[in-house]
Amino acid sequence: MKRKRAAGAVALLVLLASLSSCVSTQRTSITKKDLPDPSVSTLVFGYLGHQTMFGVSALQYCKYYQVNPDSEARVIDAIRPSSVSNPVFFLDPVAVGSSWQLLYFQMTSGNTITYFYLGMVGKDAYDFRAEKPGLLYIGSHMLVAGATQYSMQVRELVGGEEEALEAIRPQFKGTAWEAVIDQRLKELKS
Amino acid sequence: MKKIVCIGLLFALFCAMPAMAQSAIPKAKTNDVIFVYKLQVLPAIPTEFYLNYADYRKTPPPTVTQINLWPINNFIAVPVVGDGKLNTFNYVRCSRDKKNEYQFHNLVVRVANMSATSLKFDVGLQANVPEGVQYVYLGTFIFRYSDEFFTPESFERLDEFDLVVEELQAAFGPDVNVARAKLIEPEED
Repeated sequence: MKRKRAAGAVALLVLLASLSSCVSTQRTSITKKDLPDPSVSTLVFGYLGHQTMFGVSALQYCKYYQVNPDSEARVIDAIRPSSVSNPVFFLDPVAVGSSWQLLYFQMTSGNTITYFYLGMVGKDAYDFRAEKPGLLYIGSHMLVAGATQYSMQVRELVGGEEEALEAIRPQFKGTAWEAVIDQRLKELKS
Repeated sequence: MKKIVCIGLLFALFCAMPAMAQSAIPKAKTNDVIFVYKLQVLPAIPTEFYLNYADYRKTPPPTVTQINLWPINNFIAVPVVGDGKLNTFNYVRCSRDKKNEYQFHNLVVRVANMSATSLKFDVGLQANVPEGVQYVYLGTFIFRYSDEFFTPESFERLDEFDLVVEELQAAFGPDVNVARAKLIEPEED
């Protein structure tokens, strides 16, 4: 009986392990440990979404690649501070001098997952070079379906920069970034 | 025992064949056309840097070129892809179109053989091939860029037909059947 139970436990563990490998989650929060200082790094934020006649949702698993060969090779997954379906996003603060391109995201519609590889030719409006320390609002970019193919378009949402900053503010509570965010919010409100 | 050794040797030879076929210029068959192209990216891509993004143990994945081209008028129009290399003439086999018309869609460089780090160059032209020609030269394409975002400066097509003829004659002798493709804007439906 005992042996049966043990076998059952092992089977359950194997099942859980195999299931957990199928489910990967998107990031919704930042690790505050070793957070770079606002004086030497850039905090990028904005909107990456999918706009349809039913409204706006978020692009999934957005991956930014560092493309400047003189800086560290690194991939950052966009963080969704409000929820994984809200288009507001930000990245971990990146080193000044690094350059970033959005090279991948995916979209789920019903049972279908579409993988988008954007290619490296040219700097698009949602790509950026971290030229100076502090905040960098990248704007609002929406994937829109055309007659034959999708395209990314700049479509400013009502809330704009202010709403995006309000959404990411709680993530930086108690860090040096809080004051920088508050300062910018004050400027936007005045 | 001898039999087993023989079978083993034959099997090893069979496994090695695709690798041999890739390095040599493919021989044209009656129902095929072999397209020839060269793609250059200038300045050279910092592939060493992009290998940091690749997932590998011992052998670093190569940077490969691909061409998307298919016969327009055949019932089954499967695009050829054929992995090639930068800076050399690449030979890709394609089934012969019944009207000798092909859609030349794009050229792609897969840096460190990854989809995420690929460079895509849209061509969108129709390639017309002279009747009965076996080897068809599409051109030497040179992409120039200015910064780390591969911001395009120019995308040119050069004619290195003489070099292609030289390479083919060295492989198959003086009677090789080779011509240039005529690239035109596709007709509107």
